[in-house]
Amino acid sequence: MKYKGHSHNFTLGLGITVFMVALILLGFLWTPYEPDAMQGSLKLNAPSILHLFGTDQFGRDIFSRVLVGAGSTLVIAAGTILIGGLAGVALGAVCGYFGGWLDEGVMRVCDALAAFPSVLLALVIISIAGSGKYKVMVALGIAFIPSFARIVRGEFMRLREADFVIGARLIGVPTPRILFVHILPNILPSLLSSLAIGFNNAALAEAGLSYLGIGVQPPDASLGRMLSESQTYLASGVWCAAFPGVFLVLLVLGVGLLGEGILDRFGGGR
Amino acid sequence: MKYVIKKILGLIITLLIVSMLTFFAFELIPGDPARSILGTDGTLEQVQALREEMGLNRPLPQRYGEWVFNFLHGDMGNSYYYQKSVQDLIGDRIPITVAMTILSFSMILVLSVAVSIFSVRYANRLFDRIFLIVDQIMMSVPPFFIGIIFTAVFGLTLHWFTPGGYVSYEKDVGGFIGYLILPSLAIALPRAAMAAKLLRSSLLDEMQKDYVRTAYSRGNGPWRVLLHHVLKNGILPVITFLGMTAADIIANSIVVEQVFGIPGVGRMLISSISKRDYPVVEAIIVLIAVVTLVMNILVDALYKKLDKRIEVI
Amino acid sequence: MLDVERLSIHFEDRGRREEAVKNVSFQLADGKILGIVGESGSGKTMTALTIAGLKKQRAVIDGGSVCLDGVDLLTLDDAQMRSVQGARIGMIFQEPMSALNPTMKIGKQLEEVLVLHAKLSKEERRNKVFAAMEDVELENPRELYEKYPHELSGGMRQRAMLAAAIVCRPKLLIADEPTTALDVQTQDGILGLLKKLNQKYGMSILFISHNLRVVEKLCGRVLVMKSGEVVEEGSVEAIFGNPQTEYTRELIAAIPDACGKNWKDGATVEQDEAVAEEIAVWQGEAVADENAMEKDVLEPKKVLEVCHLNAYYREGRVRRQILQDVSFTLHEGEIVGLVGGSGSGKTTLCKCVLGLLKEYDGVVIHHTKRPQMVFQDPYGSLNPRKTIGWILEEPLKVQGGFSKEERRRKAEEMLERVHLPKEFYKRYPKELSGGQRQRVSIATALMTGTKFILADEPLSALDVTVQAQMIELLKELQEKEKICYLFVSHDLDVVHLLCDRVLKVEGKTVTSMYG
Repeated sequence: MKYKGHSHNFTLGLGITVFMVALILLGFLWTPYEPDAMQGSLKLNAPSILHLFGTDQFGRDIFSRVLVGAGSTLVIAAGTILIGGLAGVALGAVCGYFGGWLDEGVMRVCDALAAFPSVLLALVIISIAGSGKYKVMVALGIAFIPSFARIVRGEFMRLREADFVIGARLIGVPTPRILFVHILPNILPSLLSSLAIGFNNAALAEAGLSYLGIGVQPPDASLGRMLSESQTYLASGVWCAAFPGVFLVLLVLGVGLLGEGILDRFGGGR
Repeated sequence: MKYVIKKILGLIITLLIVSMLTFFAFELIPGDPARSILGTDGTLEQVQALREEMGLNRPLPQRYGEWVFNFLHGDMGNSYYYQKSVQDLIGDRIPITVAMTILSFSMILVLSVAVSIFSVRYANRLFDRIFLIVDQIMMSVPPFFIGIIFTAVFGLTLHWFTPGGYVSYEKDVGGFIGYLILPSLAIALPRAAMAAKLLRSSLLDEMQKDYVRTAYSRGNGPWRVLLHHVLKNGILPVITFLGMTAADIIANSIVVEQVFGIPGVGRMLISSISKRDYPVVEAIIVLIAVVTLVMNILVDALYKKLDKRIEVI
Repeated sequence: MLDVERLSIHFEDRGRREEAVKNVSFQLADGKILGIVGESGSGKTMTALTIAGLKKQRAVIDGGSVCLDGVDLLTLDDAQMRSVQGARIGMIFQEPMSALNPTMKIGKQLEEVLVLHAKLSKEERRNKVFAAMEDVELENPRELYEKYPHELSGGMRQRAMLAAAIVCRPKLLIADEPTTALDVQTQDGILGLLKKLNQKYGMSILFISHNLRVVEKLCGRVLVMKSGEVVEEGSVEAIFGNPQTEYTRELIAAIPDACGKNWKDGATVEQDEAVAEEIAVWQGEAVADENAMEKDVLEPKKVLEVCHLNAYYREGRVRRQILQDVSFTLHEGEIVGLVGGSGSGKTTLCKCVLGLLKEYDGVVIHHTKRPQMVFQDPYGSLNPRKTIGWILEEPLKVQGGFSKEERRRKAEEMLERVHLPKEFYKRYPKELSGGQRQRVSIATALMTGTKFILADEPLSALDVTVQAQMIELLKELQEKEKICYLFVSHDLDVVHLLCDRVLKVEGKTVTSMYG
């Protein structure tokens, strides 16, 4: 019943995502103020023309800090889905298409890993390997492999018995070509949308870990840490919490809508 | 019966893998626990003696075996940091986390079912459209940010509760539950939004099925079709999601406990990670994994009970 | 009793208006059976659903009336209509499995009608349900009451549907393709039951079907519909004996009527024609190498040999034998039917022939390139993300050695050979109809250069007139290109019409049935 071809979710999601990502990329090159520069005279100033999002308890410009912090989030989330996505697609495709003992074994381990909520798995890895931007990225990436592998495996299992795949086998198409040229394009919409969901989960997980103080470490700015610090000044400086939070929500909302939109527009599975 | 045995075997194997992964992962950590307990002041002899006392000099597989054996007998080892056994440390924290999980789970169930039924009954009408927008936004907000908003609005502005004023269940059960409502809701909202969205689309799918037409052809009204015929079938595909929700609630409670200053298992876990108090970390992680796995099995059983067709397979 | 007057309905779809039913009028008298026939898209189901008050929201009624005992159903509000549905109009549908609620006990589903329409005690309701079950000849009603739909056979499910439809003794029963999803024997049972209920309770029946043979058996009057309009109406004898319109004649001609006749005669005639054609070719060409030609005709080349084939199905450690000592040979230019009930090993045999099954011993020799397959479901057999051109070129890419231009030229030639326009090269499968997709499937098979195609129920998903066109194409390719088909089907009529000989899979072995 889905109307394919046009989707409000897609348009709106793409719009928000492009805007937010452009803003964050801008933050890599230029910020209005030095994100770590403290100004004693400007402690907890409300938002103004000079400081769009106000200043924090040390007089730092929140807008600049939000841009840089969101930059960490973006890098970590993107890295996570790159690691998790690549490994997950490879594992899932092979397991789903061939089945057998390999599938049995890999999925057993995936089941065991899935018994941990992915944040918890990341926590374990971090508590072993230590915290920091790239360690968090790798930890989350590994933690996300099982979920991607499961999705991809399910799709490949569904399609390996599809008539057009059997037809391709009868023609004599080599197996790698069947996997990646015949089948993969058919699961692209659902893969992309699960990558979008994965991106969001990673972004939220990173923010959570940083909030707990075991994610991104100073001097790297992070939205989670800003939120955690803001709690002390919630009564006198609501903006310290509001802007980092809303910024994160907008990024996640945009990507989430985009993921939905991809499914609406290009159709997923059945 | 064969199915039950198969499931239980699967559970045991998975638990073994989980426990091995956890145990050996923490063995891989560079650094000597005995050294970290004694600090830099300890002499080499003292460290050696402590290692012997803690059993660190025995071979790995043997230690793993002992750890599992003791764990099964309720002995989770001793904390490096506190001079207490792990089960004593986390024992009185477990009820807090469990209460929060149950509260959250009920909220998710009630909210998502109620909202999605109305949304499907009035599909594409005003209620449904507003629901879709609010739902999508709700899904994007991390629970701890909702917690901060709650603190700002209900705590600091409306003074409905005192932020950080946790009430122990040993003193006042009513106050304890009252204090847990907002944190539980903070955890529940994003997850309920996801569940409602899935449920809505599952119910809409069901509405297209032939048996719905049959039901109408017998003179059923729209509400009756929805509640008597569609709801039970439509909830089936969402049950798996609801099962995974338990794990998600626990994971999020780790962060939300921090926001509201609740001394639950999650806070213990975080503080133990920063103190490198590994026996505590190991125990909590294995416990969470057990809860998650058992939840999955229960969900599976529930699914089978509801969907009679599965027995055939 | 039922009086439909100038009923018109259209769909509103993305701003496009689509007329579904145009000015349809008919009457159904008390105690009579009226059949409505037509192909998919003829508006017959739309008409039936509208009478029952079940039309989709997208469908808009433009005008007309549907009077049941003098009351125009179209003017009733929802609550009033609900008191008619189930009580005065009963309805059964095509797929009894999906039409029953999968998670509700059969008994509860039957009882529901009484809960909604009659004020009875629990005990009275139960007794009425049991009585209705006996009416539709369901045995052990008490046991069945507690069962779920998936525990019943297809025929029993349809009987249960019927029991629910008649438990309130409606005056009108609407049956929308009720026998289509059932096998022939069960079909006859349901038809007999409808006739019995019609006579016993004087219940009028509106019978919707695309199957003219079934309609002929059951109905007193017939209404033929095409693209939303009534083409012809009359008594069964008049419609079948003396059809007035071209379309009705086409429909009747498309009924594979071999069953009644002795099909051996038909085959002989065809063979004669084929021989005559061959002779014509010889004379025209004045061949030099007459001997070779002659040999070719007398001993057609083999394409497939199966010798002493045993096939197994492995489930865990248990190995079950599916086929035992199967031997047969297929030749070029021959259409061989493969029939057998479900579970007889038809599919296993096909998999062996195609090399998709490893669990077998014996010999399968192909004297041609890879065997190719045409599938039942035209919607699953073409990769939905690729263009028709890409799909057709894939066999050439696998073989290698063709330039881009050559591949395109060959693909376009192939489209012409299966009578599709060249422009389809750039289309996607979703833009094609079912019949067109099946043509693309055949074309893809031919691109490999094979002489042997295994066709697994390739016509069963198609409308009858499209079926006829496909049969023509298959025969044309058989004659022109000497393609051999192994034609798997449960539709004996089509098999008899199309095939030179038939292989029957039964009791693990294959027997040959010539004419």
